[in-house]
Amino acid sequence: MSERNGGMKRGEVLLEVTDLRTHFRGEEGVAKAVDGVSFKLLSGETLGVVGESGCGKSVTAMSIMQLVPQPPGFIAGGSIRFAGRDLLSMSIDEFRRIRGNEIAMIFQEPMTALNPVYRVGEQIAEAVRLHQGLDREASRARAIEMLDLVKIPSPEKRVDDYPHQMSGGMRQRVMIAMAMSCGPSLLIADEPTTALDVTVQAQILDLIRGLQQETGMSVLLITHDLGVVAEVSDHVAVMYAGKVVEYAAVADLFAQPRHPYTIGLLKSLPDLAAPGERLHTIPGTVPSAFHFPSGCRFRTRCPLASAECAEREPPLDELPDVGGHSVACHHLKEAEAL
Amino acid sequence: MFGYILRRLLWMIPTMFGITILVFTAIRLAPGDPATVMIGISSGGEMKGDVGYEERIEKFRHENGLDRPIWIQYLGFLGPFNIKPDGHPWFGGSGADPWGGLLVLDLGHEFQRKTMPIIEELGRRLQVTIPLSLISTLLIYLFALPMGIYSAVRQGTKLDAAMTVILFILYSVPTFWAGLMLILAFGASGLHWLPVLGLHSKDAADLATWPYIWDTIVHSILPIATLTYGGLAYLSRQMRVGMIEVIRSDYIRTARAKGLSEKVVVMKHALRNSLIPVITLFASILPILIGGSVIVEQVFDVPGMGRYAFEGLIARDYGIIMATTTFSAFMTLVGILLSDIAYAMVDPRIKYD
Repeated sequence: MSERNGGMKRGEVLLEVTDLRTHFRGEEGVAKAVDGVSFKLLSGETLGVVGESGCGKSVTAMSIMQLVPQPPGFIAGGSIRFAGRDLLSMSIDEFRRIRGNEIAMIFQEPMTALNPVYRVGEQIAEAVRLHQGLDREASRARAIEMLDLVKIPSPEKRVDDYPHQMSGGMRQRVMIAMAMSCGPSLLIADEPTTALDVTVQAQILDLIRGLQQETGMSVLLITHDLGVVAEVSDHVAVMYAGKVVEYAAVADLFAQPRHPYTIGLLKSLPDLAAPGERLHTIPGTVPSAFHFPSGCRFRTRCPLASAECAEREPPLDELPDVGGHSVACHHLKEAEAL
Repeated sequence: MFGYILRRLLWMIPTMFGITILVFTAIRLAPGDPATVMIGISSGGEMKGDVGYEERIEKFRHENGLDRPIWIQYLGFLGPFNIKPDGHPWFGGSGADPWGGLLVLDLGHEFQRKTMPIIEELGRRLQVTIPLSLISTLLIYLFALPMGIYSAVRQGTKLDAAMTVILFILYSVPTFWAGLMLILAFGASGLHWLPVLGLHSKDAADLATWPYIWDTIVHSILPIATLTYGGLAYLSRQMRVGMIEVIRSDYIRTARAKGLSEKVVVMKHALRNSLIPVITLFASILPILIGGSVIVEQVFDVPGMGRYAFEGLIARDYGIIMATTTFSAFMTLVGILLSDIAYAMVDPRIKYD
């Protein structure tokens, strides 16, 4: 496997998403699933994107891969720059050479993400033949090598298995093998462990982290699980209602969350140290993407909401006191007391 | 797989047994009596009360074994004993022709043409029906699959919408009406492009080989079109629905995420999966075509098995009815077996044995 970072040194910006807007036309109007998302992902690092279901984190990932079904979806604005190239201005044929090659993706549902009628080896080898021009024999050898890399026992036998002959954890390993087969510089993992048993979750996360250390690739990890984020991310973007509300280095975010939503999320984690206590919850539900509230979108559930929050949308600004920590809130001072 | 097919073939025996018992009982319970129909025919419309009527009815019933208990009659159908007066001595026969029935591939003789073995006539009729059905099945799959795939991939476009409407109308049009409309449009009363009756011209026997073949083709166009349109409409809709469902699935997203072109995604990853439900339909299409050709053969005056079954029903000829239903049942079972085998070849999750 070739080590490739898009020709970049660790710490340079590999992926820069600016003001991305992905909307969907529906019967009720336009759903602004992603509505002005910006973040940077540095080469060799892991960025965790967290938020409740429906906050737009998966759509963000799908937008980068251009897998949003069109129609009803469409990119209403913004830019996605990857290794210095603007992905959204490329033709789909040009982008296909990057997709599965320099940017690869794994999905939430390992049980359904593999084609049931083809052998797993063929499904891996297919990508290798396409992007690296290997012949049948060489691509099969690569598939076996990849299965070995993701620690599937006796890979030379398993290469001829069909997906239904494997467990969920195994299938997710196959997905990872497929994603890694062309040596991507960016791996997008959309809830890669959500559908798996807890013990298998840890194995898969370890595997992704190990592969990242070996190859120096960047990982964009989409998850709703703050525990997973804390474990593997370098930076975190917290999303709410189609927007990033807080962006920080992982240690900063967990030590000093500044947005009321992030604070609420962290408080609602079950604390093993204090059994018997009622769990904290954020009141209300995520607003519908068809009818977001005016101003700050979190104000309908926020304990600090004021008239200003309804009038003006808070910008995602970097904090003056902590470098690299951005928050979109009008009431930073009051939030410290939460 | 071989063991599985063998087992399935063996299972057909009790199934056929059950089907024939059911049909046999049902047609004997149905109103109408072959003896009265036959005597009526053979005496040129002579009716009850005429001289010797009762005796001739008795004689007909005795000659054909219809005066025996129903289970003996069924045994006569099944074989291997002939239970008629010239049959096996065990059943009081003369022993002149001791064997008969399905087991020795003897389906008896027609009531009306007493010297005509039913199996011989059935064979002649099948030589007409089977080619028509096979061509029709082939055309259905040949056109329905690409049409279904195309309108699934281009879902929501004007062409897809137009195809949906047209195919829906085709699917709703009854066969006899469609057949008559085609006759009106292309026959002598309309454009006068195609012959509308029979499979050959009157003088076809005098034609050389190629003109004879051409004559047959020209005569077959309308019957085949009538046989095909309904199945075509149905199957292409099924294919479209199946394809749309598959295209939305996670593994298609995975295939796209690999960077494969849309053509490979559809023709490799989606096609094989969406074929699975369409293959099972083969089991129902084949026997419907053979059995369902009754109307088409009647409308176009084609001497096939469908019309034979119809003639048998009208004449209350138990032998013909049993022969045609048994054959249709057999074809249904064969169709199911073939689609199960095809199923296993397409879908690796299906394992027999």
